[in-house]
Amino acid sequence: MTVDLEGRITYANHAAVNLLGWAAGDLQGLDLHETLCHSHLDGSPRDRNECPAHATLRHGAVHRGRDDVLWRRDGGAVPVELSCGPLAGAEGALGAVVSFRDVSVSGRATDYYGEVLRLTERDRAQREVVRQLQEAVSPRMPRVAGVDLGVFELAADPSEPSGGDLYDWVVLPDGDLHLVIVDVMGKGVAATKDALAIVHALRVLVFEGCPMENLVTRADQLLLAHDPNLVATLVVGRYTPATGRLRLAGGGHPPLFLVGADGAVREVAAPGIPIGWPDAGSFEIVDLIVERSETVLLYTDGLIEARRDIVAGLSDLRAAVGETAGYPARHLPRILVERALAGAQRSDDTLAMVLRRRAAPASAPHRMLGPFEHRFSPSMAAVPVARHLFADWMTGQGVEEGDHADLLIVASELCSNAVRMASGAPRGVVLRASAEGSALVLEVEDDGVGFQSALPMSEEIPALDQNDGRGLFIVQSMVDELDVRTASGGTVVRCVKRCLFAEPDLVSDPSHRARS
Amino acid sequence: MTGAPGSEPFAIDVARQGARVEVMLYGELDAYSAPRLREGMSELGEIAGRHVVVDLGGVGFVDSAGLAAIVSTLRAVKEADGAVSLRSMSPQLHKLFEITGLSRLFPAE
Repeated sequence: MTVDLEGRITYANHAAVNLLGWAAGDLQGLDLHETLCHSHLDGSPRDRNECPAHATLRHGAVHRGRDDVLWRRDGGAVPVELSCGPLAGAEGALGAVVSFRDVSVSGRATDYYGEVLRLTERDRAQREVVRQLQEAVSPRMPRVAGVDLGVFELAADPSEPSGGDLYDWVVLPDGDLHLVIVDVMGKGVAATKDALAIVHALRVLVFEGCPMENLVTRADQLLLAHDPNLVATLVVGRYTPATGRLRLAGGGHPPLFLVGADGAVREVAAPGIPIGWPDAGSFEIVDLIVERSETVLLYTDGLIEARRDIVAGLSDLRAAVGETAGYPARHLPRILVERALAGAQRSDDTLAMVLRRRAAPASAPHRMLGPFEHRFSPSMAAVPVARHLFADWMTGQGVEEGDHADLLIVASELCSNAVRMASGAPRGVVLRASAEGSALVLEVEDDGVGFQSALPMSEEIPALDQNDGRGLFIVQSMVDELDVRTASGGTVVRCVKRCLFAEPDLVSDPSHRARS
Repeated sequence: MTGAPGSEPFAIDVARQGARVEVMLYGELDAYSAPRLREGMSELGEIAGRHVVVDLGGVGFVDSAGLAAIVSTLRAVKEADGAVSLRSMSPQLHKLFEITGLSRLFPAE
């Protein structure tokens, strides 16, 4: 319905007229308040000023009446939900629009529908809240010079968004990386709450300059004052990027692993008494140097208890970390968790975190060969050829085995892609490579346009039920940088991968090997 | 079968022993050779209820196109209610299976 500035009905639609028992056109010109809004539901007279429409006419704003009432021509009351908004034309205010909906018994069905919508909406909103909270308990991966990081966590109960295993990593004002892994007794969101309290207490203590020796004890004192039932094992690390120095304070947590590029594995225990136990605190500060290309694995016991035999679990994990020394740090935690849980009944929260110190920058240029360039016509048959030529060049550069194999796949993916995208003109695809410092730069250019301007930069693993489309994901997992430039002349995909190179002397001078 | 110049030619050998079918793959598996694997598998005949063992010991190189061909082969066997296992995967191929999460679907023997 619409009303003019005096509150007279200027228009009423079919539904309104029918509901209120009038005939079409009869309402026109009648006073809204006198005709339809004159009384409260109990029959007592209602003042004009109590009417939402009148409020809109006076103040211009939208007014609502959730439990309002309109009166039928036959004297019956119709409970309605009502909303009034100003109606304006070019010359200014014209009146108000009054819309309403019957909420009496006949309107219940719509009500239930509305309720279902509201519940669905509430469910969606709650899910969103849980997702946001989940993000809040999974701190963003910090950027630390010379280090690659990775983390993966899995709650014991798949229906729970998080469990009692929690991690923290943050760069401190002095540039050191603060690392925490905590495993709270208990499961589900209640345990997450306790784990968060510990993580935050540790952050505050570290920022305040609490010495590492006292961290676990101080955290215990702070937390037990509030919750005497809290029990948690933990390991706190402080990593100095410039030197690779890693100091650790532990509280009853399983040993961490230090893995060399060659797969040699060392167990490092940071002994202490868990938070919540009498005399909680670390016994000593473990002080070690993470060598170049070495990997540190921190984890919670879900990773070694999946088969209910901790000793076997530890030795399985030890074997697994040795075998996966050359895996990308970003994906390594997930892969270790998947290995540990393969065929096991999952019963505990599981968390794994990886820190890998990158290979050293090359001390001096030691390139036997110049940059690599191979131009070929866009045919799939030409890709193996390009790959083999590139493999020979990498061998000449002294690229070590694992990096060599990874880069061969990267080159194959990019070349196959370029063949698909190229215009078809002869020699339309170019594979280039050069060694720059401690990195290998790989470039594939094609003369096609479009498509690749927006690469999906997802870290998510591709859906398992899809057959292909893994190429880009694989490339991303194996290189350190990836970018795509599309110009009118074609597309260039450029990757950078930090590599291990064999010692130059050993490559160029075999006699040196005999001497050393 | 012939490969591109410079590549190891791709080949498939099939041995049947009752309900067990052994498929030996040789050479390099990429976008160039992947169609050959698909062809070879389509000629495998009856796979319903069979145990297909794919031996990858002779495979020197696999990229995502090769991976896709292996995965669709394995999937076809599974969908025909057969069992599959992978044998003699190189560490590099195992790594590829793990990075892509496919090892959860197709564990190595």
